[in-house]
Amino acid sequence: MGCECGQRHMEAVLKNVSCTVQLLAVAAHSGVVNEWDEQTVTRAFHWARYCEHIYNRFHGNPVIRGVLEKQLQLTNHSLKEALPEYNAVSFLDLGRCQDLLLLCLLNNSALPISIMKMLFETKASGDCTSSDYEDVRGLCNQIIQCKSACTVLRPLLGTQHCWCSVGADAEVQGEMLMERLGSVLSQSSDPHLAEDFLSPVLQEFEVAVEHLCPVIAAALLTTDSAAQTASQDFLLDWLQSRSGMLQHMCTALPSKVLADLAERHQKFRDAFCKLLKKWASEMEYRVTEGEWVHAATNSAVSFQKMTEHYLTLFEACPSLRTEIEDELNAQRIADGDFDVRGLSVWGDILLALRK
Amino acid sequence: MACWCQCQQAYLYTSRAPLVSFHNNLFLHRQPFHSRTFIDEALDEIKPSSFRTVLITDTPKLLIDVFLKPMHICYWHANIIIIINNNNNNNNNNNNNNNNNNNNNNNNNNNSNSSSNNNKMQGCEESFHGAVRVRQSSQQIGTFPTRNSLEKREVQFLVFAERKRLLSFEADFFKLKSKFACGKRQMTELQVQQTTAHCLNVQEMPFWHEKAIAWGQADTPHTRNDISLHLKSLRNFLQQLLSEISSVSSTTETLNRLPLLGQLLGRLCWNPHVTAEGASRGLLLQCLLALYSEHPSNAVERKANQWIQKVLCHLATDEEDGAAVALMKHLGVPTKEYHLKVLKKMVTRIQESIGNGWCSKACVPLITCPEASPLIDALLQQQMSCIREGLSENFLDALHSAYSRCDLLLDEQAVVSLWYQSLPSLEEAVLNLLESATTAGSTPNKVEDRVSKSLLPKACAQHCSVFLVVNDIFRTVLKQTETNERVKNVFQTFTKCFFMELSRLQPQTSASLKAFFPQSPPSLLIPLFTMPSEMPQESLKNHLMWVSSSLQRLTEEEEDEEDSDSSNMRGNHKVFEAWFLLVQCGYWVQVVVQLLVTSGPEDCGPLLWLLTFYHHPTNRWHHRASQLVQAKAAWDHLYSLFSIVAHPLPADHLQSFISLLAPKPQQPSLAPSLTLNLLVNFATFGQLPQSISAEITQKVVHQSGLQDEAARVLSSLRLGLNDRGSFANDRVHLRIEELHNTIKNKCKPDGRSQTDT
Repeated sequence: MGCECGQRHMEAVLKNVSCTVQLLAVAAHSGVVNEWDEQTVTRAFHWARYCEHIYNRFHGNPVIRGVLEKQLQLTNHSLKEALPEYNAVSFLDLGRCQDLLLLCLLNNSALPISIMKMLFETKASGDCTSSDYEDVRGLCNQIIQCKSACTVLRPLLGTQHCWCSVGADAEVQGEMLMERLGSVLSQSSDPHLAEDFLSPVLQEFEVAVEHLCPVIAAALLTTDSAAQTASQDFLLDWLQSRSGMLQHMCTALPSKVLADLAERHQKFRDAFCKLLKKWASEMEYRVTEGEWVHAATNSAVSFQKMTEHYLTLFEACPSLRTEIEDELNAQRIADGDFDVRGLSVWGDILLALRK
Repeated sequence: MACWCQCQQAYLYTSRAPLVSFHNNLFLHRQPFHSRTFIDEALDEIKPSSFRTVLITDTPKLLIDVFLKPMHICYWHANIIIIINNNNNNNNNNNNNNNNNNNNNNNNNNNSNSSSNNNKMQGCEESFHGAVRVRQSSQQIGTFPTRNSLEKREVQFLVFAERKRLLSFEADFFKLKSKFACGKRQMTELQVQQTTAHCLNVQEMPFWHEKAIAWGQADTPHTRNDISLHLKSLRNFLQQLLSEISSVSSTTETLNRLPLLGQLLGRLCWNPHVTAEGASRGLLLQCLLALYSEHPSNAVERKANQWIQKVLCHLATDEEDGAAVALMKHLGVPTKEYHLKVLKKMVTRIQESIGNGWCSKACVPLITCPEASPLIDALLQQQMSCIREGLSENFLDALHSAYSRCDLLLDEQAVVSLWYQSLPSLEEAVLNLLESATTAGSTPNKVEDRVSKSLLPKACAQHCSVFLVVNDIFRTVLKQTETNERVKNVFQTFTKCFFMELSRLQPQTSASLKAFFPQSPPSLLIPLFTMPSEMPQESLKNHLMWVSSSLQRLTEEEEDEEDSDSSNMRGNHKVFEAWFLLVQCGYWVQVVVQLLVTSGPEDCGPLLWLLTFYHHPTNRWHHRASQLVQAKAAWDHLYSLFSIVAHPLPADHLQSFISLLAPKPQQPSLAPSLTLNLLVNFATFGQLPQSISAEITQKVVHQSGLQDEAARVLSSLRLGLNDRGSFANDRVHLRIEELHNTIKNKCKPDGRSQTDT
């Protein structure tokens, strides 16, 4: 009985999603939009919100997600036949359905001025007492305000924070990444699912690694809930399995952030220390320049930067100091125990750290 | 209410500099801490010879000394001097000869064809709008010789005579107060060009176009600063543009008239500092939407429509950060939600590391953004303890104007800090309170509600300097409206609420009483600020006798001195301050009237003196003696009326009492409120049966047409007794209620008595 009920429910969901996707197509390409009034637009946005809700609810559920994706394929196919200029809607698009609807409407030349006025209404000009269409009225005005305010504030943060933080944008993105990952992990214990979720997200950034580094750092530094420990563990494992990614992070991020990460996560600390040692071992002394240089030409890490990393790390985790200094000293002795600069990188690092 | 317009004056303070210019009018408020050299330097700096000048000062005498420049003092009243420059020195000298205090036609109105007196007033107000014209025409209300040719005393004399003639002008002048307040410190390069608020000045178009280009070229601290400095005038300009667009019939025509319009709007739309600010963004969007033609009639309009829709679409959906968008797309996060989160995060982060004045400057466009309000609050409050230079003036200015437009929600403490740091805001708040609390129909209960909700008493308790400014405004208002009982009531209520707030603060955090009332006679502070409820009933009378004799001594001393030296302004000041204190402690006056009911003829003298002083503080034309005699007569009447037990009431007795309340043409008459107050208290606390008391009251009030006033006195009495906790006595309570009903019910149907007055 329950199963049948659930099935009927599922059918309704599929139908609603399919209708909303059709609605998007109409909003984007049909002249009918010219007849739309405030009520129609508000209803359209309600349906869009419904799809966002469906996405949030089922994106971590592989079975339902699969069914929905299949349905979307069918709807996309039939719409494409009717409207050649139609752009297919993916399951991911459902999560931002209101954005899509807005984009469709604003790009449709048949959009009546009354709707534009409604969307761009500002509080001062509108009748504040009418609570109808509350959420849609002035929607664009709010979006513009938010975006502009962020742009105004960004330089304020930039100057004061770049040396010790990843930036507000990355922080928010990191939090959202953790949130999504958390919900995927909570719905199924199968790590492959989370892997499936994370990989395409991160693949997107293969070309923009410098953007991804602060986001991952921010994700690992979030402190919100216990559920995140699992997500963070997962992310750390993922990171360790991609040494290139880790190396990128340690090259791109400020020492303070790396030290914070090391302080928070034992796994990261070990990986970071290992990486620092690896970098050191790859350094060679250039007599002409009188300094240690990394052998790989494209690596940005300098000797100076490395000592800075060490010092900031000691500040964050004071217990590491003796341990690492002992290690460095052992390496120095292995190198011949000379007290002259330029002979052993380990000796020179030690010297710089004790300055 | 006519006197209200007049008393809207002294608030043209300036917070930092003593000088303020608005539309070529120069305002100066000299505060006690401004030295003469300071004012001299300030005047030199601003070159007052190019301004039509209005000076506001506590000490006009000093200013006469300061002004050695060839200027014409046109008007001088109380603490206001209006000086109109005469750039032509010869003209000035010529006028010296025919100056005459009876010469009403001494009006060199070059601009107007008519020179009648009525037109003169009008012309003068007009000239405040179009200040440029004034400068050219050197329009004058009256010309006065300068210091070079006349002695100071003569100037004073002339001004005194001129004063009467100009009273009506004063009323018009102060109506402009709000405009001055808004226009303060707005010294952009455009100031001279600004005409009226809603008429578009096409010449400004290229200026703003160039600005928009310059702002769009580089996002540097310099441009950011320039934008925030210009946001206010840009808003005005956009408002004018919007009215222009809406008033022109078609977009084609608008674009013909304003060829740069599209470019300007387009560029401004891409400037986040402009689009971040609520009002500018609103106007910008409205301009674009107003340009959209619903039924385009030609190619231009069709193209314009397309362009508008494209701009709007980009504004709402374009994303700068491609990587972030891609990530959000993968995570299925709506952009609005994302931006909102980022904004909140930024606000929190900046709040954590709030720094210098630079931050406050950058936040000017965000003042009305609700998400940024924690930052605005924090900025305002962190400066409380630091030096004032911390917050940029532009920031405070923008805050003030947003707050007065009601565009801004601040938490209580932030409002207090805004007042603490921005004098124009404080002035406006005080003025608004006075205006709302003194409107007709506001009962003492409502006044108390308004006052306590205004937050001002709280701000005053927290910051002595805020209290001093507020009290200074009250002082000036009171000087103009000494007989207005409503105004006095507001001050009394204010003082009450202020002390309540003060008692809530930790004793060590608040300043001493002396610091709050530096000008009041110190010996009276404690006795008057002690609440009647804090004292045993039986010692009230002695206490008030003592207060009365102290005040009597003080006034006699000062008035004697004044007689011997007519320029004794200091003495007047002392008497005024003593009276001001008494007004603020009005609860004692209530006790005085109540005690007069139970006192015998032998000891009512000092109490009557105190009551008369409260209602007639100045011994103008030496009328105090005669006023005292009248007060005594009123009391005698009531005393005998309320001790006659036999019925019916002796009509002649009642009639002669009523005649005391009638306005008399010959001077000096007693304030009706004094007599009325006595009557109400006799009726409430007297020994006559309730019905007879009510009958007497009803007759008197009815025949003298003072229903509203009587109702007010009763409400005050009820409130005062409540505050003193004296309502243990149910009889008193009942009597007040019944008297109230008598006045309200029996007097209402009879409309005649109201129109009579």
